[in-house]
Amino acid sequence: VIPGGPVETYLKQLRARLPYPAPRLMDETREHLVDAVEDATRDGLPPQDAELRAVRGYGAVDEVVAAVMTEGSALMSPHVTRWILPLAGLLTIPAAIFMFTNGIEHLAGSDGSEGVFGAALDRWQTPMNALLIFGPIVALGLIALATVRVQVHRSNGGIDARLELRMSRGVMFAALGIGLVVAGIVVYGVTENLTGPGAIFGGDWSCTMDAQDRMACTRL
Amino acid sequence: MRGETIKGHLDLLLLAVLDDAPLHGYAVIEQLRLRSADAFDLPEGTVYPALHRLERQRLVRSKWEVGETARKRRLYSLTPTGRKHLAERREQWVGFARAVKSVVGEAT
Repeated sequence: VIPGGPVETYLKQLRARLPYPAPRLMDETREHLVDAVEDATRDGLPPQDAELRAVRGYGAVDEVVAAVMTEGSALMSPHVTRWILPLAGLLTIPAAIFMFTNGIEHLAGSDGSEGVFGAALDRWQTPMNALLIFGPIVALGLIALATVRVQVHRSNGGIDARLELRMSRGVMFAALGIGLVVAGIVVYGVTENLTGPGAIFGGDWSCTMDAQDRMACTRL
Repeated sequence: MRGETIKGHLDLLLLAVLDDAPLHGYAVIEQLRLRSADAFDLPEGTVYPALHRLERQRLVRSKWEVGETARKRRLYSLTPTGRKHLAERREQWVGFARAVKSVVGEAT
């Protein structure tokens, strides 16, 4: 491959135009172009012309990018769909159970005025604890991002893009994890509201009324 | 024949090409061109994303292999599911082509 020649330029342009890193596609593209250059050279073309023929045959960068976006994303590569997403989803379940059985109780120790995240930040100050609280949330966000598939359709010379969510085992496990957390929060919230603090996890509480007539409770 | 015309049949074509033997991407495209007597003028770069999708659908599998030239290439082959899918698609296609031919008739 000629340094700075058509093949290198094409690879640079393709890498820059892809909406996400696609190392496997880039590797395969490079190998393909090298094969095509070799064939063209065997046909008697000088190196520069051989590279130009290889690049032209591969298609315009726009065409390849459109095909990549239509056919799916690098995030949905076989390794991701088969292993990483299900694994991330499975990890979410113990994290969710941890939040339900342990985290909620600690969150309930706040006066509630700071909201769930405020209380969590207040009480779970060590990095490990913060990770345990926010890790599952971040993991779920990443899973959701990883399952977004960008679909591009050509119509009347223009390009319509739409997002599509693909269900995978990972998403199903993640949904189960979210379900556990939400169910836990709802059951806890309703019960505590009906019966007062400490109904589920026990403990001694001190409650006061603030200026706006709102009850604020803290664990003793 | 440009890409838009082939697109609807690309899965069937790729699976059919891989039916005989495992091939790397460049050879898949060569086979497409060869078997169609250069009728399929597909931008070569659009074939790889399609192969990746077929792999996600578990119809083909792939692995890196180092060839005689010491360059590594991704070798694609049909999975048992892919073979079954190909047989079904092939049958549908033959039926469809026969029906179209009976309506449209032979080229004169």
